[in-house]
Amino acid sequence: MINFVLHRFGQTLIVLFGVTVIIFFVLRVMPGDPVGLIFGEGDDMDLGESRRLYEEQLGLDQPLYVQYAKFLGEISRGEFGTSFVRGGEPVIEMVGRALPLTIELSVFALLIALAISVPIAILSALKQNTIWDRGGTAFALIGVSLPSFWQGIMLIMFFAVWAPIFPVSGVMDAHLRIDRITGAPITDAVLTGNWEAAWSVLRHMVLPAITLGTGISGQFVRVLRSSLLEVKHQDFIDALRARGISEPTVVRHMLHNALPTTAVIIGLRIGALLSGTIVIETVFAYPGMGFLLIQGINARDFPVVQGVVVLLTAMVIAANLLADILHGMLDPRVKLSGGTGSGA
Amino acid sequence: MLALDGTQRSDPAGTETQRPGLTPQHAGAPLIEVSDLSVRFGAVTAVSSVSFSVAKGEVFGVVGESGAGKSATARAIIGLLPPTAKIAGSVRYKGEELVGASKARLRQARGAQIGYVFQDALTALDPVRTIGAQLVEVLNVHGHVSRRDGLERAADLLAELKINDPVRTLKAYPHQLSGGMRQRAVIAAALIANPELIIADEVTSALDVTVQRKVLDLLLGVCAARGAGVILITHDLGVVAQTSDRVAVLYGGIVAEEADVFSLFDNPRHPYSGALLNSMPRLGDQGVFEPIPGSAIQVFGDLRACPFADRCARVADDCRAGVPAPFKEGGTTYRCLHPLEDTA
Repeated sequence: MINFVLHRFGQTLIVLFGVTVIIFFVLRVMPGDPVGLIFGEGDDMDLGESRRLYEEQLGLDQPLYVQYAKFLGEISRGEFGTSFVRGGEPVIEMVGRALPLTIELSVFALLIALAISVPIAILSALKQNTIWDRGGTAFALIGVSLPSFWQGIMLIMFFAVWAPIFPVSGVMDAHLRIDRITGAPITDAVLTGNWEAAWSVLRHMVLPAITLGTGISGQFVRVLRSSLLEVKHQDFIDALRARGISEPTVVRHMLHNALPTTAVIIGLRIGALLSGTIVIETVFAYPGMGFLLIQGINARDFPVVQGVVVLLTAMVIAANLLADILHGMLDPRVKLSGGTGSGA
Repeated sequence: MLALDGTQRSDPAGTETQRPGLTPQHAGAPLIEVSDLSVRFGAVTAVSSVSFSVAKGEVFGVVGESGAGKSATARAIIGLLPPTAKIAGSVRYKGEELVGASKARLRQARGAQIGYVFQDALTALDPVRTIGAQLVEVLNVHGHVSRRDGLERAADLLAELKINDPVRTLKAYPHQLSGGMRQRAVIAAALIANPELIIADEVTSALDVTVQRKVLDLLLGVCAARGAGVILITHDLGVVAQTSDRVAVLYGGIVAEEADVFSLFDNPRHPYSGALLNSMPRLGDQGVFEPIPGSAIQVFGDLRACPFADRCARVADDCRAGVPAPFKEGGTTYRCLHPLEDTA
């Protein structure tokens, strides 16, 4: 187990190194330059000396390999530099504000996805090839196929324009304040007993979480359904019935057997969940990591984009590792070992 | 294996093994009475009007090639056929009709009154639950027991099945046990709620030859000690010769011949029984086996002729005019118009 974690940690470092290379150079070959955007210039405008001073201050006058070495050195010390735009605010502080928001939104979305997909998958698998199954499959297909930005805008139309039930942007109503403990709004509001703010945050999260949740629940339905079907046709299911075990308990056995695979898939889908937040946070103006990333890209704010991408990558890898460990705990046949990753 | 009454019984198959003897308690009301049982899967007729009965303490062998209707008959008894199957006829457990009984009644009968030992021990246990949990679960469906009492009873039963370290075995997961141990756990799961009838469906086919006999002896020993009746389904005539009191030979979904084990082996009347015996190696024979020409029949629609007609050496025109009615002669009942000569 410890071997396994160490082995995976080594792999993680390699992946993170690759990510730093890609994000660093992609940002630099992108058209548009940060200094020009700060001054709001047109391409033909000559800023002369002030441009040179600014580039020098941001370190952009140095050769690319020097810039990259500096960036890598900072990252490896756990430093993420300062924003080009917001008066040189440290990236780590911006992330510190945005990350808890994204985590809370993702957890909410994950819960919604599970609440939708688990019952549908069970119904589909138990009533295979019936109208229920086809309905479940259709739902999964729609969930996977609908572009989330479109779905988000539709939800805004229905629930904000036609029937104004839910707010469509921001984290909470403007007049409210939450004392900061963890930075995650609902958690903090609950911890401080600020129920009004908690309710407001929850209401603001509903539409983005539904958008995010339905997108991934389509995949969950497919995965859970197929692993349930696989279990359903195994001999031990009939053996349980032959011992007089009741049908609900037989279904519990099926779920227990399908769970390890599903947990791994959910872990692997955390990446999709986080990339989903990039679009959805922008649609709903929700100031999480995705929102921060898009703003950073628009302003060519290199340190912010680099920091956010490296952190998101680390989170996805951590989620995958967690899923593998969970798999090992849920399925007694799986032994976690170094070397070949998660082997049976 | 020693017979219960200490006597040794000669072996009709000529294989030199001892086995439990016939005990007089067989007389009396049958434990299970199957009459005119038919099972159809769509157009395929798996079982056509099969009748037999098994008494307390009796070992009733059911032999036949794959597809002869052995498992379909057994599963029809406990009402565990797929929903597409159509069952006709009657199965009475101690006089109570089970065909058409409510699902709740059938569930209660399974495990508590009729135990079913599955063919493949390697797949008849839930891979993600411990042996102990699976055994206690059976006890719990058939009357609540505390976890401690349940585990104690399970340990006692495992000890009775000659498992060396019952307590450790209870804590083990199926994949941690050897094939023979797993099969004993499967047997324990079928026996733990003290059923009076045990259906053993090819219980040892998945095991190594070396442990087959041992496991079978253990199963029959425990059943004999409890005075339970056993329906032993097998394709192995040698097993039947050594263990069964009476035998039904199935072919094409009908009982071709039913007789006590000595009559069947010494004086087979149905040509199929005779052919089966000739195709089986016996001690002392110099390896002259006669294979039965052709291959096993699959019956579509209603059976309108003797199913063995196409492979039978004694076939005549009247064999194809209809299914021969059961003919009783001494202790033997056979369905044949041109039986083998009575050598008794």
